[in-house]
Amino acid sequence: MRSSNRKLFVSVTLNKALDQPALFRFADAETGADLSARERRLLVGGLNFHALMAPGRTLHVHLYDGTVETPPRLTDDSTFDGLSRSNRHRIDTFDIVSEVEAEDRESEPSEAASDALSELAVRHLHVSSDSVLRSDPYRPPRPGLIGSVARRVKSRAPLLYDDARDLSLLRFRRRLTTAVEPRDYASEFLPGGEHEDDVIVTAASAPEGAQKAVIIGLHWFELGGAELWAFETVRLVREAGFLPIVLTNRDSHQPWITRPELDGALLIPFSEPTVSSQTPGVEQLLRALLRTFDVRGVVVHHNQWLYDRLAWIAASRPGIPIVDSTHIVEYTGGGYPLSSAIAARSVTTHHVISPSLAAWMTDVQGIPPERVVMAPLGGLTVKPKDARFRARADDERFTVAFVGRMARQKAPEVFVAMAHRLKLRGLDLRFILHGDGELSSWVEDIIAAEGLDADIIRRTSQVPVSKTLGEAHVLVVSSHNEGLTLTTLEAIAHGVPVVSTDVGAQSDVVPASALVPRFARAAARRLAEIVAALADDEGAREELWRKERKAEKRLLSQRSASDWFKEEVGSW
Amino acid sequence: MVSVAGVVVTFNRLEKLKTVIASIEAQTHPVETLFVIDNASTDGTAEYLASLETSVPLEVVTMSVNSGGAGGFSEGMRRGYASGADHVWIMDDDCYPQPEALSSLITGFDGAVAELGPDVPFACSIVEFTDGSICEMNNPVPTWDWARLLVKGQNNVMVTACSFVSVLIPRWAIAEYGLPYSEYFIWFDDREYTLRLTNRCPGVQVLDSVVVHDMGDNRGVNFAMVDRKSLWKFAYGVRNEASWQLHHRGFLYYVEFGARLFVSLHRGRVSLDLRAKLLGKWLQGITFNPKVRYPEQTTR
Repeated sequence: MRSSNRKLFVSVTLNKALDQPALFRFADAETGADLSARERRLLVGGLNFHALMAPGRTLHVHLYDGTVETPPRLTDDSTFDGLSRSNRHRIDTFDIVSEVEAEDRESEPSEAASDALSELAVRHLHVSSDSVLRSDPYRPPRPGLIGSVARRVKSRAPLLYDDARDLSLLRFRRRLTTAVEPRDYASEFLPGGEHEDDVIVTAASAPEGAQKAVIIGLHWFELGGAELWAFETVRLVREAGFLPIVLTNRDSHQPWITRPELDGALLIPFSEPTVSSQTPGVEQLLRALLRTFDVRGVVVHHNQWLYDRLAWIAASRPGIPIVDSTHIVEYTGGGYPLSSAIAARSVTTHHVISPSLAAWMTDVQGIPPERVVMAPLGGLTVKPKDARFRARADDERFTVAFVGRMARQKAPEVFVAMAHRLKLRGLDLRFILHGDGELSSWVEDIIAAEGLDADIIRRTSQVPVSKTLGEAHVLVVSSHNEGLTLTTLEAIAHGVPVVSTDVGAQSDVVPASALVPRFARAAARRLAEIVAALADDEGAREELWRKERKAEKRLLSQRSASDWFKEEVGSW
Repeated sequence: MVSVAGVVVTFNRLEKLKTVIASIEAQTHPVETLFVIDNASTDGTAEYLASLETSVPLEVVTMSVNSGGAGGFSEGMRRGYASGADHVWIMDDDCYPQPEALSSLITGFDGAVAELGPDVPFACSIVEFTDGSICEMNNPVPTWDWARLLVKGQNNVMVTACSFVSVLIPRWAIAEYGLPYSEYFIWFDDREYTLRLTNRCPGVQVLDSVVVHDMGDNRGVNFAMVDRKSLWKFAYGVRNEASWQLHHRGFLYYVEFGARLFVSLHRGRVSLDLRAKLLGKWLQGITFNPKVRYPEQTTR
């Protein structure tokens, strides 16, 4: 391992470009003046990345247009060499000057590919326009024969597809119940290791007086309970007096990048891959951040790119707090909790949001309990006090609600199948399917195919969730996979009982009598049975709510995630 | 302003190349970058280019081996695309564009887009021989309604295919349709590529954009002209076209091409051993089927 500890830099003052924190200046101050708030944050984010990758240099930047099918391209290797098919039409060209201090260091031979990209004088960026937000988020279909068969089955027989998926996921089961071997980063650079041709070069020190900062890795700037919490941590970091440096690593049009919690943060929405520009062991982008800012800590929320580099950060800044926050053990191999366990030697504190996940971390993965913090997310959308059971008025039609993204994980098709069964029983019920997402169009097709157009009211996220919960008599959580859903806590706070699939930590709040198997067919059948029973028995409905309310109180009596994190970051 | 990357592919024609570069420097619409692809020339081209100073930004790409015109154009177009230019303008090393050639191509292209829509995939020039006559080998294939733009007062003729002698190609077309098949090496690469581009909308030949093709002998070519000296070139032509007919059009077109080929060889009284060799190349078209490469699939 080599260190690069020369203190030759002067501290960099963070500028503003298009009203955003910036590490560069435009050669022409009028550049980008026509862009919307979202487009500005995306563009400045991409340019901050390139300013860090080309310290002190002037870059000639081409900007290209695109469609809903082309997510922003801001940091991937094609933004250096222009070799992307997305760059069909150039719409603007301008120059920027990086104001990052260069590092006084000889490149390692392993950095040749990265240097070749960085040395290019031109950059090629695509910032999708706000018009793309009017469509369903585009997710590229799985290519090939298997993909096309899967698509057909999924649309014609949604539950059959779920069955097949459950079957195929059985192969991951062992991984969920056995401890994973934590990563030994240094050994990967030894002969025979994955990175035997690379070397670890730790980051140089930050200059005296450098701005204090915290690096926060997020999944993306899109809607979701996990993201609400992630944004909250950005706000708390800023309130604690640090510059939040927020990195995301999933392609998206990033509709939520304009959230007020992100104001004043240095945002870098990654587009992948960055394989060539970021040399293992050298980590050009992170080392530029570490030598420019006085990084006091790292927070990871569902960002695999950052998980992969935590060990390098820990080697560069021994002793700084590195915390992550995980919510769900995914059936497809463990998901981010598994990433957390793999990175356990670098993570100082594992935050989890449910007792079940805390138990998984300690009992299955063997992480010392003192390094696992369980703090529920309750406070974000729910005011836990003063909840009262919402009794059904005599003239009210019994209303069954679903609140969540139209995504595979949330299984809206199971909700529709349940509604279909209830209708066949001849019950006069009203259904509300609240949420939008990449499966919106598909879900509407299924509703139409089941002949439920008149029975299911569709609501998008434009309608407040509180309105739906204010009309509901039971909330149905039909998910294939969850942590502990915020909507469960919200429903209980609104006096609405919850019936749920037995996934993640739902059982921490929902009693066994209101839990159903997660397998699609069984879930639809059992959900229909339980909802039918509750529709007929107001006493049972209230009893269920009281049990859930008690469990929720017990859970929320624990220190909330926000309170814990505020105290944690306050000590950095 | 519309930005254009010039692409010239050269192999052992240094004297002509000097005139090509000078002609490009003299354009009234300057190219943003000129990419000269040196196909491993052995006549001092590399040394000349290494010390050359030009009035337009010049990037010389020296290939490690001669990749043929097809390989050179594929590499040059990839470079032009990667430079961020709105169009690439491709030509051989014996093509001398007149000073207004590029400017007229851009105007003609824009006019065609205004009339036909944004799918117009290329604009090519009129190619003259050094004596001012039409160049026999470089005449584009017109569409059935070739005069549609002429009657609208434009100086454009609609075409489906042309040779790589002064062709302006917008970057979207490269993104969508990919690069020419470098595997073709020589012959039929331009025909195949421009036919690929005109799948949805024809290109145009801009009648007031003129280049001079200094090709020595102003003769068209057909298979009756095969001799021992030119066999190598015809061999590529037969293999490439056979492959294209079979894999992009269908079996009957492949057979029909074979029939045409052998009728021509018979009429030209080409010796039997050469016919046998070309028969082999025709059969080779069955297994030879390169895949389209796009800019992002090329080596970084």
